[in-house]
Formats: sequence, structure tokens, C-alpha cells
Amino acid sequence: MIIVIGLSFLTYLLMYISPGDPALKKLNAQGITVSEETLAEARHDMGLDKPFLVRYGQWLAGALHGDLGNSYKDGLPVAQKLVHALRYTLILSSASLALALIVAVPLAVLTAVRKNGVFDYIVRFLSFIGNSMPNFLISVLLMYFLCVKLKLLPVIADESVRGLILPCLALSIPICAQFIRQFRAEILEQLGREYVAGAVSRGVKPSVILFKNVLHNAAIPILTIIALSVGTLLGGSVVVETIFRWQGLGKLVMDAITARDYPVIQGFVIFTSCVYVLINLLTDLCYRRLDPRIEEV
Amino acid sequence: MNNGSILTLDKLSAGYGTGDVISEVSFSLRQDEILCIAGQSGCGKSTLLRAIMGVFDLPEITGGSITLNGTVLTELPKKQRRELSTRSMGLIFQNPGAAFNPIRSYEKQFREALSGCGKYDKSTFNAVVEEVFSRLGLGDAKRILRSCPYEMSGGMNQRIAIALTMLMGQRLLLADEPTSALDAGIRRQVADEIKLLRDENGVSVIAVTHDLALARYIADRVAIMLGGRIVELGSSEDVISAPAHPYTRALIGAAAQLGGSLPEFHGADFSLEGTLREVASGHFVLTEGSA
Amino acid sequence: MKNTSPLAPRRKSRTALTVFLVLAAALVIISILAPFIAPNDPNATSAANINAAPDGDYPLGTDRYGRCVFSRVLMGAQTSIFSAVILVAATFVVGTALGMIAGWYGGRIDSIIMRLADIMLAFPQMVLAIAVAGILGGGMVNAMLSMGISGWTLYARLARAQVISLKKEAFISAARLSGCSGPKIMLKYLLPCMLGALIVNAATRLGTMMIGIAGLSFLGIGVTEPHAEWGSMINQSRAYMQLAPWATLAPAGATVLTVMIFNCLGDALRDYLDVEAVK
Repeated sequence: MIIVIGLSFLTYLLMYISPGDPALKKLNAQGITVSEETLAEARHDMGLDKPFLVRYGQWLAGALHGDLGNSYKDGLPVAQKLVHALRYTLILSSASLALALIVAVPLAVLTAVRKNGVFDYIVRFLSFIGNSMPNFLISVLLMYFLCVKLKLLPVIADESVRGLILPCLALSIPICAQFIRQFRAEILEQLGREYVAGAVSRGVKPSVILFKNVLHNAAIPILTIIALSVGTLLGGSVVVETIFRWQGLGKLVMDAITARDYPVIQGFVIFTSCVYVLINLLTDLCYRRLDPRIEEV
Repeated sequence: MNNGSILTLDKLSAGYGTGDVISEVSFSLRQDEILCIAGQSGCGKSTLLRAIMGVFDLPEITGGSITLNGTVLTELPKKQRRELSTRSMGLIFQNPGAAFNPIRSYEKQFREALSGCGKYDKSTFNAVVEEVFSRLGLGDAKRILRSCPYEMSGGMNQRIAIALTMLMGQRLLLADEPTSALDAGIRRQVADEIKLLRDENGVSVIAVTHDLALARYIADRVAIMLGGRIVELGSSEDVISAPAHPYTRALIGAAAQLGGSLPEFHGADFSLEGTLREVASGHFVLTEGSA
Repeated sequence: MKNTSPLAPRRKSRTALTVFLVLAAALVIISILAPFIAPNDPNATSAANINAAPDGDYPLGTDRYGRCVFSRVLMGAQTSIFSAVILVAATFVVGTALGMIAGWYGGRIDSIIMRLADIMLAFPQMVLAIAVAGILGGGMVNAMLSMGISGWTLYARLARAQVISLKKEAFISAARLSGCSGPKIMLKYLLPCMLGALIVNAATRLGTMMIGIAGLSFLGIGVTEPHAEWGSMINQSRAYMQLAPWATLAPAGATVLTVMIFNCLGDALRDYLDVEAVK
């Protein structure tokens, strides 16, 4: 909680010192002819004539009650805009995460078990390339080859499943590549443990060793990796949503940035950090289920 | 030498792909005999055990043969070799409990192990475990089965591993430094348990150790290893009280001063050429020159 | 396996390290020499040669203003590589210094610094960078600032943890007893001990930082036109991809290649120095 407040203070401060007059921006955004009087009036309305800390305090008090202020651009409550966009981001992110997991888990298991085989080398090489590609690049390339060259899919994502395919692919490829590398390492680490040797020497079936023991134990670090990837996912979604015009949080914040719609940017920061903190809490809860040792600590 | 022997090694060499770690190791183990293999770390003791077990990818056997109850293990196809090894040999590790998944209950792991060798029977499982546990004086079987290895003390984990060997009916126990990671108090208990396993079940044991006190306490015969070779082999009485090889003498002399554990020597200090020759009845020493 | 020779992999990793060091050095040299190698003025527009295919004059064709793509990619190397290197170096120095101070002095300074780090870490780096860059407006310095605002925390946490564990060592107590001042001990004794781990982490971050800055530029909140930068070049030319794919593919290839080399360098360094990188 302290962390979220600290972050909000920081972004508020940044906005305060950033160049440009919010009142002027607001008026411009609304298409009102600017004069000295209207500007001064708008400043007063927006509370910009008050000292910084007072303004921040007011904003924070509102935020704690779920009121993140109104957008400069269209006057709609920021919270409402965010919740609306969150739906789209959730659809896109969860689809991408699911896709990445569906591909990465079996591949990581296969490459770890058949370490240094031909298949392992191919997958490692591909995942290495995937890891070195920024997702804006993947988006552009996918768009070029699948939409422009092969004309398989629409360039601009609509809300249909077909519209979801490209942004989902673009978002999941780098994460998937990263997952394969990291999951493989975790599984190999578990395979090298002595309990695996012990189980082998006791004649436990290889499938039991792999699925009931190794994968179960590797699930704990893997969960951490997935939780951390949510950050990458949120960052990537800004890029991907902008490119494919997917109406999620990322697109919303980029539009707000272009329009200098500060309340929306501020709201986005708070909103995202809350989501992030929430996910970390969830991860902690999952740990407890997977690893009995944690309760003791 | 083959009469009544359960396991025979004939000029066994093995390594990890970059040269042999053990070379031309030969001995044979009698039914219900405890053999201790002593030597400093890095002499190839653990490699020898793993090579005998033969269920791992490494070490790789590069020469010689292993015969178990008349079956030449080294000639078997991999799958059969594994099956036979896991049914007849149990391996316990230096780090107590490391042989078990730390966060999986003993019950599940026992069941997995017994299913692997076809000995799991749901209706009798609890009774059988309880019987073995009470024979070893392990206490509340139900509570232990419900627990995970991480919740147990080192000595307890080691004793549970020995109990599992009994449950699985393995005829040969390979113990890799079974007591060296344990507190002094519980060492004796684990050593006694190994003896019990032999006395009551007729299990043969090869225990690798650098603890000469343990060797003297449990072993019928002792082999001394240096640089991947056996330099001396004989009854524990002969080897420890009347050592013949210079390395053994140095070891025992130093161990007496240091209180039981082995000091480090360099392989280069002693000649490793030559063959094992019988200097007295059943007492073999590595001697230079061919036989 | 414990018994395998420790020398063999070491030798292998040294070769790998040399190879990638040479490649990375080549990249840096190319980027330094870019103004001299570039066949054309990277900012000269030519109405006659808009979206021209690659030919003798323009090895990689021209973009929508008729600018030489090859020259722009070369000049972009300067921007992309230098900004990444400077960014990593700056966050490295600041983060390490703060982390060491926090670890050494403890108490209130420690909690202030580490709380600040926690705040930064409570947020996905790229999202924070986008928000901050968005607020500050475009420009290379702002882009670097916004990436750096959370970038330093990695080194700070690492350095702090190391200092705290090293503080208990006998040789540090000895130095303290012999009258060495805090800052002197930190620089002379502590820093050399932890440099390896820190440098490996810095090296593995190079690629990520490059992707980050390119991403900001792509979104139009990093390096902006007419300055040549790969991310913004890709963004500017992607609308014309059907007409002039080279204008997009050339900076794209350059980005992937460079990031790959930096990533390999980081991995090779990690293997060579045999320290774990923080994930």
C-alpha cells in the first residue's frame, strides 16, 4: 500500500515538474479558444492555483475512494475508462499468457529431458531468437507477412477472435521464448537433484519421477517466473495494443500520453501497480499450496 | 572365490567420459557380508558404487564385468539391467534425505518405489510398513508416512531409507558415506541398523566411507582405495591392525592421531602400478611387478 | 556430476566470451565510425528517390523521404548502442553506489533507499518507463531517464546484499580496526569482491535496455525524428512496408542482431565468471 502511494506521489511530482500547462492542454483538448481569462478560470476550476502538496492530498483522498478524477479530454471519470479498458487488456493478456504456457511447458519438458538432442538445439535456438526480438518488431513483421503479404488476417484488430489472433501472437512470442529458456533451466536443475537419482535407484517409473516429483517441485520457481512475466506482459501490451488498435489499457494510456491527458496517465499508473501487487499476493498464496516448507518460515 | 558370493567385480573400470576414474577393480562379496571401502575423497569410492548400481547415465563402464548372483550385469541390455539392479540393490546417499523428494510425503514416495518393483499392494501396505518400522524401532509409522523428508532429522531420514531397502526386499545395500553427515550420537544407531539388516535379513552391504572407526565397527572386510584402484583388501582385523600397503599404513597412522577421519594424501606419493597379491590368507595387497 | 573436469567447460566458455567480445567490439567500432562509413548523408532527403529499392547508390534502398536507409541504420547504431551502454553504465554506477551505502550504513539511509527501490519495483519496468517518458515528453535523454528510473534498483539490491554479507568477514573488520574510513573500505575492499556479479548482471541487461529504448522510440516517446534510431525508423516506415519493405527490415535486422550479440555476451560472461545472474 505504501508502495502504491509512493509511486503515485512520484508520478504526480513528475507531472508537476513536466513542461506544459495542464489547463492550457485541457482547453486545447476541448477545442476552446484560449484567452487569459478562460485560462485563469480553468486553472481555478482544476485547482491548479493551489500548492502542489494540497493538490496531491486532494487527489489521493479521492483515489482512496475510487475517484481518480476526470479525463481532460472527454470529461469522463478516469476510473470508469480504466475499468472499461481493463476488460480488453485482460482478454489479450490472459490469452497470450495461456498461449505462451501451452507452448512453453511441453517444449521445456521435452528439451530438458532430451537435453543436448537435436530437438533441444532447435528449440533453444528459436527461443533465443524470440528472446532477442522486441515485441513491436514481432508485431510489425507479423502484420507484414500475415496481413499484407498473405492477406490472412485483418490489420486492425476488431473484437472478434480473428482480431485477437495477431496481437495475441505478438504478445506471447517473446514471453514464450523466455519461458522455454527459464522453465527448461528450472526443470534441469530439479533433474540434477539427488532425490531424482534416489528415485531412479529405487526403480520408480520415469513418468512418475518426471510428472509427480520433478514438475511439481519445479512448479514453485516456475510460478515466480510467470508472476514476473506479468510485468513484461503489461509493458508489451502497451506496444501491441497501440499497433493493433486494441482498445485496452495500453492503447488508452498511449492516447492519453499523446493528448497529455494527465489524470488518465496517473490513474493508469495507480491501477497497474495495484494489479501488479495483487498478482504478487496471489503468487504468494499459490506458493503455500505448492511448497509445504513455506508455512514454517 | 566365487562360491557363495553374491556380487563379483572383475577388473571393473569406469569413468565420466574423460578417462577412467576407477580402474581394474576386482573383488567379490559374500552373502551377508559387510564390506567397507575406505579412502580419501576423490579416490573413486562413490563412482564405484554408482557403477555397480548401473542405473545412471554416468559413470560409464569402460571395461571388466559385474556379476550379480550368477547374472553378468554388464552384458545385460540397459532396460533389463536397470530392472534387475533396482530390484536387488538399494542405494543410500551421504546426504540423509537427499535421496527423497524433500516436499513429497514418505507415503507417496514409498508407494512409488514399491510400485516400481511390483511390490505395492494397497491392502497390506500399511501393515507391512508398520511391521518393518517397528522392527527397526522407528516409532509411529503412520506419522512418519504422512511427513515429508524436510520435516525429519538427518538421522531419521537415513534410517527411513534403510527401512525402505528392507521393504523392497533388496539383497544388496550400497551405502555411500551413510553416517558422515550425521551427528555423532546418531551414527551408532544408523550403523547398528545396517548391521541389523544384515543379521536379520541376510542383506549384503558395501559401505563407502572415510571413517575408519565405522569400518572397524561394522565391516567384515575392508578395502582401501587410492586413485581409483584397490590397494589393499582383507578382513578388517588384518587391514586395520596389520596394514601391509604403505598408503594404508600412512592412513591408519594419521587417522589414529586425528581421531578417526582420513587425512589427504596425494596419489603421486604412492605407486599405483602392479597387481593385487595375496600376502596372507584372504589379505590382498597391491604390489609392484606382474603376478 | 562432481567428478567431471572443471577445466573443460571453462576453456569453452572462454572461447565463447572472446568471440562475443570481438563481435560486440566490432559493433561499437562500427557505431563510432558510422559518420565516416555512411555512403550518404543520413538526413538528406531526395524527392527523386522516394522508397527506392536497394541499388549501387543506396545499398539498402531509401525511405519515404528518399533518405538512405543504410546510412540511417549506421547512424542509428550510434544512437541505439550508445544510449544502451550509457544507460546501463549510469544505472550501474548509481545503483551500486546507493546499494553499497544502504548496506554499509544501514539504519535510516538504508530504509529510505530500499523503500525507494521497492516503489520502483512495484511496477513493471517498461510500463513505468512508458508512463514517465509519456509525461516527460520525447527525446533521448528523457527516454534514458525513464528507463533508468527503475533500472538502478537491480544493482542497488545486489550490491546491498553483497555488502551486508561481506561486512561480517574478518578482512573487513581488520580493515576497520586498522582505521580505514567507511568510503575507503567500500571502494578498496568491498567493491572488488562484488564487481564480478554486478558486471555480469549489467551485461545481461544491455540487450533488455536496447529493446526498451527502441520500444519507447517506436511508440514515439523516445528518440524522435529526424534523429536516426532503429525503433523510430521501424515505426516511421511500417506504413510503407508494402512499397519499401527494406526501410523496415533493415533496422529490424540490425536491432535483432545487436540484441542477440549483447545477450550472447552477457551469457558468455556469466558462464565465464560463473556467477548467477538475477532473473
